[in-house]
Amino acid sequence: MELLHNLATGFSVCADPIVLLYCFIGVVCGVIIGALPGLGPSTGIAILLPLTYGMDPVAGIVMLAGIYYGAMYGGSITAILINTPGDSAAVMTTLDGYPMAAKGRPAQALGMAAYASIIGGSVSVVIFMLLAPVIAKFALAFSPAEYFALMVMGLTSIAGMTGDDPFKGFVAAGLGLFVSTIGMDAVLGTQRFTFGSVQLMGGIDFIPVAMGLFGIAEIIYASAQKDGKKITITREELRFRKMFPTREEWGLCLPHIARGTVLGFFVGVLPGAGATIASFLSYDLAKKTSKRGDQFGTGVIEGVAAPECANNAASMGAMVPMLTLGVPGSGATAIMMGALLMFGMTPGPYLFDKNPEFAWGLVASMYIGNIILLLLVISALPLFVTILKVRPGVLNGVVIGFILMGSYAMNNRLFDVGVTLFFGAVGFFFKKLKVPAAPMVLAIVLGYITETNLRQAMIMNKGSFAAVISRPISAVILIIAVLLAFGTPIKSFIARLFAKKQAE
Amino acid sequence: MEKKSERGLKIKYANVLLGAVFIVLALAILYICQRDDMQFYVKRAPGPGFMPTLSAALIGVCGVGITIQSVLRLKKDAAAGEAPLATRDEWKNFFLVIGLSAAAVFFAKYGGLITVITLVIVLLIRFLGPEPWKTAIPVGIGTGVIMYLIFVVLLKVHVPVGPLGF
Repeated sequence: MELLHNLATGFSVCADPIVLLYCFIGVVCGVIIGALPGLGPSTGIAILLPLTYGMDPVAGIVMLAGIYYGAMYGGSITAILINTPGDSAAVMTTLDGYPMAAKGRPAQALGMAAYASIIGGSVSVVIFMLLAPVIAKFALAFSPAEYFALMVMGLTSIAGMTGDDPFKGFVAAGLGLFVSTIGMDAVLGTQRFTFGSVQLMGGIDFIPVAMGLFGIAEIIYASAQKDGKKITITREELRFRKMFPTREEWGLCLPHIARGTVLGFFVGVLPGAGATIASFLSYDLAKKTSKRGDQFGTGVIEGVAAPECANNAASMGAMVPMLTLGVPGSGATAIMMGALLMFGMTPGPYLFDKNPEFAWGLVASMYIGNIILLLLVISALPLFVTILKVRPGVLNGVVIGFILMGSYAMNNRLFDVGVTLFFGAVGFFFKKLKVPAAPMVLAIVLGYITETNLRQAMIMNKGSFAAVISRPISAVILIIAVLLAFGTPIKSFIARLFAKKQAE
Repeated sequence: MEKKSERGLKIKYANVLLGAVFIVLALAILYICQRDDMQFYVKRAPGPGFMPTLSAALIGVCGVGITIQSVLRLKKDAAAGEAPLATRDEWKNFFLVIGLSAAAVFFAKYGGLITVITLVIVLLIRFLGPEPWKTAIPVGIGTGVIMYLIFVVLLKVHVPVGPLGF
């Protein structure tokens, strides 16, 4: 009953026309950004974050959340139409989506991607709603030691799971932790790495860093790629009637959507795992359990439904640790957590108690966002396809302009634009050398909280690190963190074992 | 014969260099901690040098790991990582984007932030695209106007103003 009351409060907050408008703008921008090859949810949120400065916190975060789940769907548009996933979470959609389009069924593929995404998103909001307050209540018993352990788990999992090389993931996390120490020491007020610069005393904000690492670097890299494919799809092929799957197709897809949604949500909850892994696992599960598993990869509709519902469910799942524990599990949620802090909201167990209107407003906006997404897809898909035809040269120039202006607008300082450019250059080399940027951004967001919690825990235990390892919950979390740190080697070991077994 | 666009530092050597850069960075962090007296422990509690030292250790250890791994790969598979770190187009775009944007930061105080960013957009569309001037100029000016309306009029951001008044 209390749950329904809270949800009603959330809907009353979201009923504000301004909030609805920002939700709409967020979803539209998200779909467009997600559809542009190379620009994923993290980049989209980082680029558009400056537009939320000075906004009401609910409207701001609702817009960012709209970008997030809009982008999760948007990635599938190019995956299906031109065999180029908009982001890594849409990679699995290309396997059957593009063959479907090649067989003359682009509308059915896009339609199923949309319905699966929306079902996945909506069902996982229900799971989110039931789970988040429970986790938040559990987390109230946490001391600084447990929080430190949680932060370490967030960092090790994302560093260990992203990219091909764990060393590069961890070095990125280390760099982020170092950047987070620049400025005044929170406990003793000592200046660290400021070199006498007044600008550096306030520390380096994560937003210019994220805009540089994700936005500038991506544009430099993408603008030199010349293998863009031309879209030759007509409006006629994208008519609403054609986008609705048949009863038989629904029968084939629904079990996979149900399984993929639950799987995707719980994979999304795990810090570092994210939508990409969720879509991969869901596709694999669908292939194994489908009656026509042998036809996967040739353009079967279940091959589109399974990864699409999972990646949207995972994006909702990723909100759970971010909102209830204050531990973002992906690049996109790390940026959103930074935005929450910018709005003066502290994510964590108290968020639902101290700011119920904000927290439940966000939950309600997820339902509304999914409905907006459905309406948009049905009515405006041909328009989105037209936007994809905007020449990259024009788009890149405009996006850089917004990044420069956005990084200035954050604190009205040209220094921040310089920071964006510096990290843009660093991000380009990171991209070329396959050093993942997400652990660095996550470490900058979590660095200050991690350090403060560790120091508090140790001060409470007379300077001994035993404070962290002697408490049962923190010890268990740290053991999980260590296991997650070796996620990539374990994954490749299992894959080798699996391949060996299959060969036998 | 090696193509012109494939010349330059190869990925496999760039990885070795990357590891070395991280090692140097870690040592530099530790040196600055020592020089500026950022203590690791202060009165039975972690001091201001605690976290920087831990992050330097992480960067250093990973730097050593990357270097060793890259050197071993050089020996194991000499043909891998033969591609250049960046192609000629990528270098051109890199210097174009970073150079023009850095120039915008420098001249913003004199020319006005919106004006110089508009100029950067026009030049980027023209040379990064590359698109003709007749596309670059109207798109650039249009974006400048939209940015002015969003950031200055709507969000009330105070921007450096140039001789044109914006």
